[in-house]
Amino acid sequence: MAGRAGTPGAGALETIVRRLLQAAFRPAGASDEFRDRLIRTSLNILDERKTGHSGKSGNRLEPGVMESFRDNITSVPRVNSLDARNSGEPIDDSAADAEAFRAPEKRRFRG
Amino acid sequence: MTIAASARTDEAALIDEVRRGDTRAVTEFYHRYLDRVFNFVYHRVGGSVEDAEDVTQDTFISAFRSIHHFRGDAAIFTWLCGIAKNKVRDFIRQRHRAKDIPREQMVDMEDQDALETAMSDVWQRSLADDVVDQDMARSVVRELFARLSDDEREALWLRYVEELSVKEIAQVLGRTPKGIEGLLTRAKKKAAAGEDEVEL
Repeated sequence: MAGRAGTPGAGALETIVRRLLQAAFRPAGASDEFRDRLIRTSLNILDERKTGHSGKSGNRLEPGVMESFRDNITSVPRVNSLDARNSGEPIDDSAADAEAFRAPEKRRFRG
Repeated sequence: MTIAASARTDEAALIDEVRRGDTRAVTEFYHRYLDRVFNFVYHRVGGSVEDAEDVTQDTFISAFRSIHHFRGDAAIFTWLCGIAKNKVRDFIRQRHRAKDIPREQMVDMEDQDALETAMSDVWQRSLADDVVDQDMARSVVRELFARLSDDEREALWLRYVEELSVKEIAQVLGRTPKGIEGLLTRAKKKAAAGEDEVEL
């Protein structure tokens, strides 16, 4: 399609715009070091998803540990509960009291 | 099988291997897309390598975290450009907030017009290098970009620098193909209007 006198047609204008933009914005590339770092990070993300582990030490429990912990908690007899105290039976609190009032152990610096 | 369909099958196979955590596939993924995404980001953050690396890294981390949800409706590069575009927007918002600007002069970055102006400034900055053989092209494009909206600039870039199809540009910008054709036509008309003033 021809344009008005002195201006390029649609095809010519498209070519001019393409050339101008490609000349003005020369391609920029990432460094090899940056690429290697991203590859490592991405593999960690994929591995984290596969294993369910964050890869950081001590931040997450293995699967099943939390459930097992909860089972143990609920299976502990609640001898000192309010119900037991209200039952009228004598309760021996001496061991718990001794534990509660024991002086804290001296902390050692572990360098 | 058409070339486009063959490319799509090839991309689907690559994505499958990447999802399985295959090191060679992940390396191939970066070999194909890192420079293109870096280039996309680099000119949108004002031509700073450091900023471009930060935003590119955020883009790929987001992509890998959501790679299991990628359905292959779009080409991989189109999908990555969509993520990168949002990351660039976040980056520009954060940087303008972080600047030491008196409160009364502070631009509201939730305001779309203010954000477009900020993004236009960044585009202009990426054209600021004085390289002798690029001078003419840079000055013409600088003048042209100043008259375009953010989406018109994006559409022109994606069409003529990245050479994406109209359908792919529509996916990146979240518009219809017809809307993109309209954007490109308007942008080229503005270029033609400016062409009278600049000797090409």
